Amino acid sequence: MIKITNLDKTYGQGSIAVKALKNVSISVEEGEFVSIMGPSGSGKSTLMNIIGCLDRATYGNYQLDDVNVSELNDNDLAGIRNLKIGFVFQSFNLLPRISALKNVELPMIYAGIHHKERQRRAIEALSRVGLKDRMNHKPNEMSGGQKQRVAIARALVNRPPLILADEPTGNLDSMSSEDIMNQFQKLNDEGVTVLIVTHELDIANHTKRIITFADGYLTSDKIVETPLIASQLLHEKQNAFKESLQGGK
Amino acid sequence: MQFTENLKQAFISLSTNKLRSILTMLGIVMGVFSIVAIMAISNAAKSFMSNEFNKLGANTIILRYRTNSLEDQDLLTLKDLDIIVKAMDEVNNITASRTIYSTIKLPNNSRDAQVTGVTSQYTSFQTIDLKEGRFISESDVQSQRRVAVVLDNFAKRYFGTTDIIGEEIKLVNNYGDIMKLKIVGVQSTEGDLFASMMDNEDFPVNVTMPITTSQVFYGRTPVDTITVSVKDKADLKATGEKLVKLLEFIHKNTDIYLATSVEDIQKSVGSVLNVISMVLVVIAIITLLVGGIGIINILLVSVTERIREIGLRKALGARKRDIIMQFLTESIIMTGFSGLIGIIIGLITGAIISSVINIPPVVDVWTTIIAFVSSVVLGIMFGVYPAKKAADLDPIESLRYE
Repeated sequence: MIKITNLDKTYGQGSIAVKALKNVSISVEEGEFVSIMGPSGSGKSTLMNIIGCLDRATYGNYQLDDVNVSELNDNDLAGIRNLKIGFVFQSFNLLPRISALKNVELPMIYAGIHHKERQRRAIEALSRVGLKDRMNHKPNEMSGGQKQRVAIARALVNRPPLILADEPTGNLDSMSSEDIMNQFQKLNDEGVTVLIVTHELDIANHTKRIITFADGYLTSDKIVETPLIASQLLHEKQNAFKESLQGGK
Repeated sequence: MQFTENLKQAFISLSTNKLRSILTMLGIVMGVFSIVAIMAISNAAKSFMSNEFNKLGANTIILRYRTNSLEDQDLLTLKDLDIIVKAMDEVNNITASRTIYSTIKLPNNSRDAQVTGVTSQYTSFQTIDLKEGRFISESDVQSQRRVAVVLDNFAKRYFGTTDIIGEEIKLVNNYGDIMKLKIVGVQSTEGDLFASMMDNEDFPVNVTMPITTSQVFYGRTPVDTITVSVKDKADLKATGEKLVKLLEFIHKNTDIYLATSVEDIQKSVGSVLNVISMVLVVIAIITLLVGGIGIINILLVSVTERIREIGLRKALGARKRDIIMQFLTESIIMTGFSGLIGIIIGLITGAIISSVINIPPVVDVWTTIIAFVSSVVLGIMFGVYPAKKAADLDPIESLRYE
């Protein structure tokens, strides 16, 4: 699915040049669930931007689905972002003036999908994240967790094989975070490749593989033996929450 | 991205900042409105002028004095009319007139009077609608009768009715002599813009009488204007020169007389009107440009406000072209709508002003179409820079923008 070889990324030129990525090689197979960890400035976000076709590498090779992305022009990259990649951001990035439904329809507008089909697929995607009954609400009428679920619906609506999430639980409480990880695990179970950037080990332990970065170098790449199962944890947390409410009485 | 989607999104974003969009559009509305209104009024004025001149007859030559310092031998006389008619085949009809400023004695006061002495042929050159009675006749002129034609507004003001045939008015000349004149006709001023404007104590009273009567009573300058209509095929310029030469020959002088054709007057009045309307249009265009700068400004603000949105759209697969179209559409909607509103208000205003000053409104379809198309074109021009700026934003930077 993703094949990165000897990737370098340098910002700036000459004496002020900063090397954000140094000789990175990774490959991710279809159906994997990978988390990328590391302190800020370690290069993990830069890598995410390059994988997401939002940025280009200074040196090295990046193949996505056997397509050499490094050689594509801006318009082709836009097409790849549109159809092959679904983005989920830390701050949700929903358009505030339009409904959840319209927000989810947005990527399909750029894919040139017809109005009726767009609406049908947007409703279907919102149903998958359990927000069908809230589809006409605007983002400011929703909780953080719900917003992020809308964002996930938007990411998967064009049925991309790859979902990239940059700190998707960074702005959420632990219960909502569990819920979002549950959504990702469900998607991954259906065969979608999921890549998330996080600095919380707790979140990373939900994934099947953890790649760690430090100072632009890939420092470790290991398999998670027994990933946490979000649906179970969510259930436990919900029960604990209910008990605490009752205990408070 | 489909065109209808662009429209929908542009509407959403414009209606989010309704007041801002409306205020921005106001500049363009003003510009287009002024252009359309100015064109409508100036077209109406032009068509009014050419109507008036057509009444006078296009193939008319007016002979006047070139200068005020005249010897007795230079003065035109009624005899000259006979000579011209006999000498020149081209002449179709001829009349003479003289205008004297004098005083009219009224029951309570005296007013200035503009007294026009005419021959009976005067009516062939000037449309004169009579409300009552008749105009000055040939026998009035021949026998120097003390008769006069006045305007209906004068009759109403001082007699309370227009039916004043047989009533008398008194004129006073420079020597203090008083002449009584019998009113034989009352001229209608209905629909005459200038007459209704001058129906006022400050303007002189209009009195028309036989030219011969006027000559006897006021003396000197027997004729100050000879108006000649020429046969259709005659060359106006050549005939005018010939007329001047003939008069110079009769009076044995040079450089005293001037021939002007109605066409010349029409042209010079038309060109003055054109200059005035061009100046106004230039001002209107400047207004439009200022409005356009307002649009550029607001779109730039809008781009800055929506940097994150632009970044997000790019991440979701929007190409540069899509972003450019999004902002261009907003700009075009703003200018297009403003154009329409400006045209409508402009046409309404043109119609109102025309009706107030009694000129029929003239709607020039082409001006209207050009005004609309150019407002849309301006939308594209004003939108390009902000749209390009938005499209060139770096998606990563934009997504991080706070």
